[in-house]
Amino acid sequence: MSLLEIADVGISFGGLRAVDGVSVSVEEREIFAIIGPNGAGKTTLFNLISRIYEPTTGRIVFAGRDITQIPPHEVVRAGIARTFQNINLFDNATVLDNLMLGRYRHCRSGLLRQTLFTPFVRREKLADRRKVEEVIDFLELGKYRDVLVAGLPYGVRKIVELGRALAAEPRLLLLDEPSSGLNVEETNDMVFWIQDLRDDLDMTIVMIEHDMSLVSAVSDRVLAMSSGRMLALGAAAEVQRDPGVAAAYLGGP
Amino acid sequence: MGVDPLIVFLQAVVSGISIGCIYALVALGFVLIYKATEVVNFAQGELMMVGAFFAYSLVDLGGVPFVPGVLLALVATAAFGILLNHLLLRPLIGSPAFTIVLATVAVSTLLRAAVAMVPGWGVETHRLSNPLAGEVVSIGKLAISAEHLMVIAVTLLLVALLYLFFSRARIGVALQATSQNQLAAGYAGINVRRMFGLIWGISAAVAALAGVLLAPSAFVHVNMGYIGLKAFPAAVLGGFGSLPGAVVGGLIIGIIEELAGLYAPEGVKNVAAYVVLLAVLMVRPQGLFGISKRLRV
Amino acid sequence: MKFYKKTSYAEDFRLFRDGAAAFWYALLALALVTAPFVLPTYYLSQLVLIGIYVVAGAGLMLLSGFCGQISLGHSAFFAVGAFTVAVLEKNGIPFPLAFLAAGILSAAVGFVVGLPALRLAGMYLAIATLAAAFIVTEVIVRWESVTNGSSGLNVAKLSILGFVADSEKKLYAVVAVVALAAMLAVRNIVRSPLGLAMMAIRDSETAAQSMGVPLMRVKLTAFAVSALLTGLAGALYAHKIQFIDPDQFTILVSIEFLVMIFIGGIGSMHGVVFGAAFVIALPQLVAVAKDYLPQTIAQQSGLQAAVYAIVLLAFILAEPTGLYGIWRRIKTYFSMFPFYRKGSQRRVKSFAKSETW
Repeated sequence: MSLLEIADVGISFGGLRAVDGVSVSVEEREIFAIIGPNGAGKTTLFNLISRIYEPTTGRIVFAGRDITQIPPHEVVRAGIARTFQNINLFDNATVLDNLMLGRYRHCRSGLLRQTLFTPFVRREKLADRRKVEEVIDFLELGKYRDVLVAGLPYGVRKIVELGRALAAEPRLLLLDEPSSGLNVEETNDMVFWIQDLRDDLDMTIVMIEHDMSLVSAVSDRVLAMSSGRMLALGAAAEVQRDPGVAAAYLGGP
Repeated sequence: MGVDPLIVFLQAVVSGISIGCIYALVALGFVLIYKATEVVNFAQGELMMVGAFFAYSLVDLGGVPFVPGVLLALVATAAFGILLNHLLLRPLIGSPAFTIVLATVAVSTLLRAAVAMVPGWGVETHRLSNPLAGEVVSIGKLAISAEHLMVIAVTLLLVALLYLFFSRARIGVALQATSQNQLAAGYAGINVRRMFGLIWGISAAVAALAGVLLAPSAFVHVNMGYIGLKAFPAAVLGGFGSLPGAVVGGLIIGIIEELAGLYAPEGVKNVAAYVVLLAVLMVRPQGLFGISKRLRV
Repeated sequence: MKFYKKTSYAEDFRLFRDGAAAFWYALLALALVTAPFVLPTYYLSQLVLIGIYVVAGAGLMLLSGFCGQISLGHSAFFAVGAFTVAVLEKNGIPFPLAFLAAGILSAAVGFVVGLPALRLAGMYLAIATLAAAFIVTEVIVRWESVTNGSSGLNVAKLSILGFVADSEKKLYAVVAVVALAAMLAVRNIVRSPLGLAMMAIRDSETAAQSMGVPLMRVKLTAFAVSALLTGLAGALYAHKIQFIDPDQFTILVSIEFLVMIFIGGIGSMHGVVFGAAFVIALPQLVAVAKDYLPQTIAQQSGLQAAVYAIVLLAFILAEPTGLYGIWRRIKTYFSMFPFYRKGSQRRVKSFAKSETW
């Protein structure tokens, strides 16, 4: 059984069919890339999976559970974490606090215990902190730990957002344009990180990308979308060669 | 012979429409500012009050004839609104919503206090003499005060004027563009900052007009602004961000209030508008004409 | 700027940042404990009022300062708390129970008001709370059989199991304890996961939600807690002034609360105390200044409100970080002397993102 099954999913905004009949299965430990020109519906698809939008047709099944209708805050509890195309961090907080928030889904203490700050709460906080430090080590964010996010350069903020998603210990990671705005070095780092996440942490990764070299280097399979519909699905090289894909990007005959 | 209950009912409805027009006007100004600048102006009622005081000073204290006096008052209040925007809201562009709310709340407090301190204004109630005072028009068995009719007529006229302005006049269209997408409007060559000033000016003038129309029934005094607070339920009922909604909402609130005063236990009339507001929020938050907003991620 | 070298994770969320801070707070505690024996009754009475406002302010700071939700109707909870305690005690219920009931009832009202309003974008909450405040006041006025309507209620002296607060000193003791407890409770919430979730909601609801924060539940929690604390403050207030009537709980009280947390300094617990002190002290300062102002201005009844508004606007325009921000700057100046630069504390002006359009 595939980890993520998207069955005939579609959504319309007014008259515009932003996503139309997309059906895809993502296997566990797969690195799956979604490519396509702007407006193809890639981010909309992500928004459907993370339940920011409600699909008008279709179903989404994750780890055997139908998540098409679950409340948005349950998505990360189900095991799916994401990053955003236009970084969505907590600007008035430090990098550390941003990452700590990624641990919220693991929080088990209620209002009363937190008001009294019982030893249980204290233990949870320390456990969260240790986990977040692992993420910081992995992403080499150590020197930014106590810096307010608002002042950080774009590339670092992208990495912080990745860190926040990782702190939630997801099974599936949705990365929306992970390398956009990153320089060559940082993009190389991203390649290694993605592979490490899959190899060491058994994570499944679905990413929207424009950088074809990153896609070719890392993906197992690629889905090309255009105007909300699926164009081609297969290994990176195949999809790149597909005439329909070339036409969508370059405007064919 | 008792009074026909139907007549009583209709009188209440007419009164309701009349006060509803006032609410509509204040709500209109309020929504105008919100649509263009996303600022919730809690001082809208006080702008109404200031406008009424300007009119009072010109007409009653200054001896200017009614219509030119009122027009001058509108212009003065418009200028005041533009000044307010320039001094206060411009420096605060980009501030968190909380700060801007507090700022307009502070302005409303300051205006109330300042008006109370002006010699000749003070905390007494004043009468704004108007040419239609005391006249009554009879339609069948209904006796409608001419002042009420004036309110309704002027409101209709103003709404029509505003409609034409926003759909036909170049500046009006520019304002619409600004309120829908500031960045794009800026790129299209529209001076967005000046548009903000303009919208505040128009909004203030509309509020002033509301104050003038309200004066006959509520008199001119510093706490007039509280009546303007009813603009919120009107705007919410109509659908935040919808101009026709603000008008319709105002009318409905006005009618509900009058009917509540007539049929409901004492005190309900004072809070009817707010109960409606909470009910709307619970049942249909986007109001009558509002569009449910979509998140952009 | 002092650099704190931390050697354990636990130091991140300690109550006091380091030994030095703990020392100063201990001194402050000492001052607070000796105050009733040293200060004249008048100043003690002002401290009591400050304490009461601190209780309400702690709650509002949690809601607005940390969770970013605007409420213009907290005067309603203040009123509910005050009247609950007054009415229950009139019917023989002892203070401790009445006090609890005041908090719980205020929280319940907060729940009822917050449920519809918090589902929507920020402004709706402000307007809904405003509406709720008007409705609550009207209910209190009309429900004469219980609340005595506009005539108001007399409130007996605060008594807990025989201990009667019949002097300002004793009332001060009770209020001080409650204020400290309130501050501690809120501080604990803030340094817990819930507090972090609230701050996340303030900065980006979408991101918070995507990280598993149930928006409605957390916002409602913040709202209910703030309502509860304000209700408790109201209960204490009733015992302080011993006569309450609906006219004391107008929207101006809500504005006072907001001014308190803004001028104190949004997002800081110190700000609560600074703000409360400011709000209580200002009318006194205005009264004193009246002697020095020309007659025409001084005798105006609107003078206090005008000064209020002007000071608030001045802070909004010039010093949005509030009194606490000024305090931190002063501390930094002295600790960095002579290397202090004017820009060292200036924050990047981040533009408030509108999430929906």
